[in-house]
Amino acid sequence: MKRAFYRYGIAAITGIGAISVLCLFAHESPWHVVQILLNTSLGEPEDLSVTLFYATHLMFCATGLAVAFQAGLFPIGAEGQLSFACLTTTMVAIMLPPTYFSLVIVLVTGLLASTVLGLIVAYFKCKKGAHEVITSMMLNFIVAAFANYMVSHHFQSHSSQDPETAIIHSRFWLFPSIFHAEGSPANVTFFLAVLACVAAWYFLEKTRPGFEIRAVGKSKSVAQNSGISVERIYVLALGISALLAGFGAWNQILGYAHKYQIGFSADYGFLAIAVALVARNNPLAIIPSSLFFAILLKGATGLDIETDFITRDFVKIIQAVLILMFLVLQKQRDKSRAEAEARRT
Amino acid sequence: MSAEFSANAPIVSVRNLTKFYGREAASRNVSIDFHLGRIHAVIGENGAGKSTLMKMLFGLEQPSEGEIVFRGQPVAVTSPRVAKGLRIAMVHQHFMLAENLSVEDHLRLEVNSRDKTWGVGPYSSFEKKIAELQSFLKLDVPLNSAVRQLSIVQKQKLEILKTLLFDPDFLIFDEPTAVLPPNEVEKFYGLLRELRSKPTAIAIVTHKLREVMMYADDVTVLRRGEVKFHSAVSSTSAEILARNMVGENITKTVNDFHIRTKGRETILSFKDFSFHHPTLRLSLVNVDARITAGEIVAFAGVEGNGQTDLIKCILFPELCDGPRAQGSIQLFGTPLVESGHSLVRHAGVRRLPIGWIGEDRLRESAIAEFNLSDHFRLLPHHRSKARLAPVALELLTQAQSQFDIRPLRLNLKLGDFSGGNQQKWVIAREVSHSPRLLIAAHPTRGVDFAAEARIHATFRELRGQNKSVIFISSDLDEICNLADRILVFFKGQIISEFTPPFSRERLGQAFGGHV
Repeated sequence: MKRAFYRYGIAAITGIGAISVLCLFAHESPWHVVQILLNTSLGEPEDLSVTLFYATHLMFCATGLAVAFQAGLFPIGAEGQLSFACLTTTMVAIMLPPTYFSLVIVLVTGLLASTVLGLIVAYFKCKKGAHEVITSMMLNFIVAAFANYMVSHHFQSHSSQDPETAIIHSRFWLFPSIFHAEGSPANVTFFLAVLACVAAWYFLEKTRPGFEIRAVGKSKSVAQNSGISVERIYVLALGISALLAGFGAWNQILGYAHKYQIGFSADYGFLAIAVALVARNNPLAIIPSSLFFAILLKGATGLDIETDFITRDFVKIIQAVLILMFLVLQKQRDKSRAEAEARRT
Repeated sequence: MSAEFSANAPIVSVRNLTKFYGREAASRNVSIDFHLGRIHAVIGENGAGKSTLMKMLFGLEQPSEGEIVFRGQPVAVTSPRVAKGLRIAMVHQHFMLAENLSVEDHLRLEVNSRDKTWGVGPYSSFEKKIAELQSFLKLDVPLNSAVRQLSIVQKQKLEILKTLLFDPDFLIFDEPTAVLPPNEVEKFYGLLRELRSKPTAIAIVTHKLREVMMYADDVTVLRRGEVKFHSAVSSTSAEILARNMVGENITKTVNDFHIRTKGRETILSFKDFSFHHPTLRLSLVNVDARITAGEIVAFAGVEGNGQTDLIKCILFPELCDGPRAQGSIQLFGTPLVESGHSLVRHAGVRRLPIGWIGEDRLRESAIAEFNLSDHFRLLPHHRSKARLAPVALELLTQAQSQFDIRPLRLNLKLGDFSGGNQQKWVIAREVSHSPRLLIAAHPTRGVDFAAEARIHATFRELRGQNKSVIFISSDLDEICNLADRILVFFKGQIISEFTPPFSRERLGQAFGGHV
């Protein structure tokens, strides 16, 4: 009992204490901050809708990253892959007539586009030995520049002052909103995202390629000795990772915005790295982890508006402290489990 | 303090030393005396508490209870620095050397670490002594040569030289001969005898009974952290020691050779096979060999003479693509390599009925974080379909009882087992598909008596089923006890082949390149 307190209590108290002190510095009572956080993210259907929308993006990107992380890779290209999928989906939807055939093409384009990005990373990794962190990060920049160019030179909406494309034909608005309110962002892709997490879990734990990905991630040399082609696994993992990030285009373009906006992403692809880490690359744990981060993300806007001193950036500090606290608690839980194990044997 | 200290008293004694790791006692009420001018062997199986004891003597671990008495005075050896101040020195099993530094750098480091003047000056006063010690140890390497250019023997001599710089009274060797080729073992003990007469008290940690009986003066047997037996070597026998180490009578199986008869089926053959790998210094030259069904063949020799590389060429035929290989390898009658071209790739070889036990368990053969089902799936035969079938429970329980693996629980991860049991799980996996050929590199390295006997028995069972086993080893005992045929490797060539009865002496010579 006493030991459990030292284990978990100290970590929790330090974390919460640090956040409280930060809040007090900002002349806000910590309790009030928590209230605002929860109220503005879960309180009203409109708020909940935005939170779920964020969670959808995070789930797709984070499960994708988790697959790659499990293979021992650390690509950080989800952001670029998501943007590229959204951009290409919008472009195709604007260019094609609204027929059933083009519907299929619109659905598939974004997925293919992001997968290609993933495979580029895999190609450089396997054939040239380039590190996936570098190549995927470079691709993020390339995609961002390409999107700027495409939107500003070819697809700029004439009826808007913002850098964004025209709205796609309503025949392509494939995923209806969950809530009935007009313009509510959360749409049925949320359920697809949950499904994707479950599917990714099944893939990693119950199938042969999934096993091979885990084996390569744990030990490249042992996996190789057991007859697994490490290069093939890298291609597979990076491809699946990018494919999953590409589903974000369904959520963003076909489900909610119906147009490509420069800067639409609240760094979903980067935040997803933290989501996956807190979930320890377990796709099932990514579901709650995504919701948690989505609440913080949505709540940040609320705090920005409803308090005098707490800004969006300030919330990032709180996020960071919370992530640290979580990681420490997880480590302590591992220790407890290991000890319990040792006692039993 | 020296007034109380008489010549016959032990220079170092440990009294009731106990060390807990969590709730487990790694060492329990251990009392041993070490005398000047005597070589004291501390023996025991893995996990018997030998290393823990030595770590406490050298200040790397602190005892939970009990005391260490040095020259009649209780002392607290709180760190290796304190130990060195008391003139206690230790040569570790895994050398504490930086490959990129020169010999002189290491000596300077050693001098400076004892010195309070921040390393200015005193090294030069040691130069004469270093030269003397070099000739004493026969370590004739230039001081500016990098450690990575040194042979194993030279590295060990450098480690000893480091300890001798400060005239230690008590020298600890942890498994000193584990890395040495057989012809160097005797020289090593010759050196120890000279050190002993300085006089110095010497402790060696080992599990090689033969060496204890031949070279040591006193012997203490540890089992499960406790002293089980203590005696002068002259008044005991290897059987008594072995019984005390294991705690029961072990019947050592005598090699029941299966002499090869002509007309046996060929399993593996090399025809004039040569191989040069750009990153390995070594080339394999003109290897001609034939392994037949139903025999156990040892690839013997000092480590790094090509045994491992030849195995690599079987398992990874794609290495032999290109101009660096000539000749051919055939496995089960189908060619793997033919005149510098691989016909099968590694994944294909692993799907054949072969088993392979790598020499470095956790780098080559097993993943500590995997549970036992996943561990078994590392063998391609256990993951033949896209959807992973659950690994049959009876397969695991059968392996567990066959190899006597403890603890008896199947939901553990591989890393939760001790080293010896991990090795048993690896072997259990590699024989679980009844392979026609088992290739094992140093299969019993670092495992205890009982596990070794179990592993050897498994190899013999395979042979009994007309399967073949190839094992790499540099341990003469193991080779003579297990093999039906011995191929000795030297500098990339098979320089001699031995059939029973084996002559240890001639084997030892062959290890050194003398045929």
